[in-house]
Amino acid sequence: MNIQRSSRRVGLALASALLATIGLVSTASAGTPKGVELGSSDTESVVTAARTSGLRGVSGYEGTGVPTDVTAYGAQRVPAGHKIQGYSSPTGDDFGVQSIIGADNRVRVNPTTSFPARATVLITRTVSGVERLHCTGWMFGASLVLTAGHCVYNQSTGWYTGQLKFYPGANGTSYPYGSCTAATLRSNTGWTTDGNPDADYGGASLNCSIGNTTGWYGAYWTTASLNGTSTTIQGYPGDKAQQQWTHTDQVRVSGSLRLYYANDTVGGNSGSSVHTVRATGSSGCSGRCSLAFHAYGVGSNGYNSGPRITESRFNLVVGWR
Amino acid sequence: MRRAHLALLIGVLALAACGGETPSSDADTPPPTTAQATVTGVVTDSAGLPVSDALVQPRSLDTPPHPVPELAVLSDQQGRYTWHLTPGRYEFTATKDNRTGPPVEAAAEAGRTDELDLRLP
Repeated sequence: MNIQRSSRRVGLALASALLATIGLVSTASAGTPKGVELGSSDTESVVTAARTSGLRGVSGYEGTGVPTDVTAYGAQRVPAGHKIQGYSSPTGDDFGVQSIIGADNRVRVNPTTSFPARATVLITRTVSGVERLHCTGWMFGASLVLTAGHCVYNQSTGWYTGQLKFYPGANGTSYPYGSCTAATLRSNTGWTTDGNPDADYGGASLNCSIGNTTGWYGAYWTTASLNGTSTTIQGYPGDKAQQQWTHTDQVRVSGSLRLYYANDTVGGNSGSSVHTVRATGSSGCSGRCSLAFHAYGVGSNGYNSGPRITESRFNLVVGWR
Repeated sequence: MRRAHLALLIGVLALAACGGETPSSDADTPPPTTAQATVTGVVTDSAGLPVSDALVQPRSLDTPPHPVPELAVLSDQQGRYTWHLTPGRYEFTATKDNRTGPPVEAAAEAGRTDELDLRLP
């Protein structure tokens, strides 16, 4: 009797899982030629999201500000003047970078101890003992940084394991939140196996919980067009010596898997949050809400671009928290 | 009954394994599988000496252009830089301290490494 009941329960669970999976396929594969996007450790949240239609997200958290001691969060202190190799030029259009669209309208963020500057992360890569500017990331939890997939995984050489350091709110040669290293680098098979630029997003689970003091960005997905939605990109362009710079534009082309915008960026901005500011009480996400992961300079339509946060991607990165 | 369970389980696994964007991490260490082109070279100044920390940026010359990853690729102490890119035609420039060198073209092929030296004025 007990065996029969248990067997029935197993059958029911399997049937539910199958139905949920079928539901997810039909939801997530619309306009998704590469197929379904499944999270392995966030099955329940995927199913919950599949039941919702239109828009879902999480708001950010502004953190507690400058800590008296970053080591309390597991971060390493970094003395002012710590040398990261890079350089500074006055304006990006001085050297004809395509991803500066028109005039260079970037504005420096200084100081970087307010939100979301402190939740914006300088990522460096150390090769042969020399540490250089590499990418930008954004806090999305106490110990999670999100970024572009190509900032954590190279199609030719593999994962950047042991090479990356993360400096939230870095400001030139000042590092108010210290630095953290990665416990795990993360991406998805759309990028690591298929090399699909539409799936070029990733992240790092850190060996610290500095997000509790820096705060973190929110994020949301919607199936609606985002054309005309304001887009801010705030990060660490390679021509600005580890300073944080920002520029605001709007979504120019709203693809199902990619957003296109005319924000001015330079190599080093990869991985920045492409975010909008939503009013308090907005459904899904209010405040600084990420829409995409900045990843590419100007493409065929004349705009810079990054993978869009879709329902399944949202569920996947929430599962990394 | 057992057969029905097995069929359901196979169905679930088959659907979960049908491609797309399943999570991956450096704990999985999958080997790189995509064929990219590599362009590498040395940045030198007008005296022919290597220049470190020059920002090297490619621009796609194909139509339509390939979008270029917005990584910060800086030359090392020996002036050497390396880019891994989608195969195609590119123009590379090096910039440092408000000096930008002349663009140099490369036809990058999958699985091949091209040497392309750059000069700063």
